[in-house]
Amino acid sequence: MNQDAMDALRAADPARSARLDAVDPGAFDALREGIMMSERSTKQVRRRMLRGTMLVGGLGLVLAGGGAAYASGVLGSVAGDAFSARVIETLVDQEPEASPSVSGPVDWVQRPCPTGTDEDIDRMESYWRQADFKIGGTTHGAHSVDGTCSWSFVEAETAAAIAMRVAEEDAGPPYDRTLTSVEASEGGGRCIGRDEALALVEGLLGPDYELSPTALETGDRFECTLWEMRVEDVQIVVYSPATLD
Amino acid sequence: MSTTDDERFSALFAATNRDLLAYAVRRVSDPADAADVVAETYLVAWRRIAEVPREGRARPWLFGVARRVLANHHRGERRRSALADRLRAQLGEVVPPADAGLQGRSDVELALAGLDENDQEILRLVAWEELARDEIAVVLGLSRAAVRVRLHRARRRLAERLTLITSGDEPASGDARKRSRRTGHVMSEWASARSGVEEAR
Repeated sequence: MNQDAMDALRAADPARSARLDAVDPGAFDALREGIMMSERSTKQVRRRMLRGTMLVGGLGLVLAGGGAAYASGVLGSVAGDAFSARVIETLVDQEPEASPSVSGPVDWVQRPCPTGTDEDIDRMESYWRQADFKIGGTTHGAHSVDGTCSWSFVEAETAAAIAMRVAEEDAGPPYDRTLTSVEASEGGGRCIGRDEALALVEGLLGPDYELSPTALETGDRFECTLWEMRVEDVQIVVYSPATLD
Repeated sequence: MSTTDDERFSALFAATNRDLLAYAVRRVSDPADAADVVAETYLVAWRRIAEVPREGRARPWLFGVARRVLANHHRGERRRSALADRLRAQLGEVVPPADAGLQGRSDVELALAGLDENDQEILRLVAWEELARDEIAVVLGLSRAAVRVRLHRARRRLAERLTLITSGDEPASGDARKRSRRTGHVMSEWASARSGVEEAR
């Protein structure tokens, strides 16, 4: 079924109906020559980049855990400058091509929220969230916060710890507590420096986890390297390379 | 500016200009905009030629740049570059205007339009740009493993939505999710402090 949909999508390629081969090569030459005659000032690019537009950015934390679980929490900040990220979406997944799924409960997402205030509890009781969870080949869906804990209102540090703990609990020891890569993901917020990014990630990891020296190197993105990106959303992904690669 | 940089940019331009133009044409409603996206993308590459990855990773890197240029474009930061005048005029002749609405779209186009932007883009990159996962990872700034997971989910959701549409069970407008167009994250409930049920995946 998936393949049929992809075949249909390929056939719907809008470029098929365009006669792009008919574009005069001279038009490309003119463009190339014009560009190469332009100023190569990176300051200009940087100024535009920092102009206060809503650039998307973010951090993704990928922990090479030792287990079958894959967990992600997508965190969004409520304050532009302070990093007060909140979870707005949580997913737990296993191997994508996992075997047939059945429904069942997901107990860990309904654990009491360690940092939830009364106000948060009151607020989250007014929300429902649904998500598909795959743990151990079983798909779990549709959980409510139930007055216990919503991922929507835990702090980033807590969310990171929970996501990592879930992976570890699922896998069982021994597991690797080294964060091997940090990714950029879609989001919004402010640009941060590399040192701040490192501190941010290390703060999320807590003392039990180690950040690989090269972890941030994979975070480069267009026009804003990781340490320049605006941070609003943080994605935490815990996975096992053995099961996902 | 060294000769090496000149030569490198020229080679990059020659090797990728048609692909980049196709990438842009597929993602804009007005063909003229595609010329500006191409021009601005190559301007970025020109200014950052030292940072452009070598060999096979240059093309997905350019797509990643173009993706951000398009994001600016969609935010209303539309620029008309004189550099693109000639190309823009050419596109007006060879590219048919896209349908602005949903009328006349095929089922798969409707199904695609009903997905969040992240799903749409990863599917386009596979089906239209025919990129491999490691190349998609470069475009989207993700790990290969993350691409694999996201692609799997996107394919599944496309198939599910297509099935619903073809069976007549799905409204054509298909925007049941309340996701951020930019991030794909579910956030409207939380952000607007409205109660209710919301689908996260």
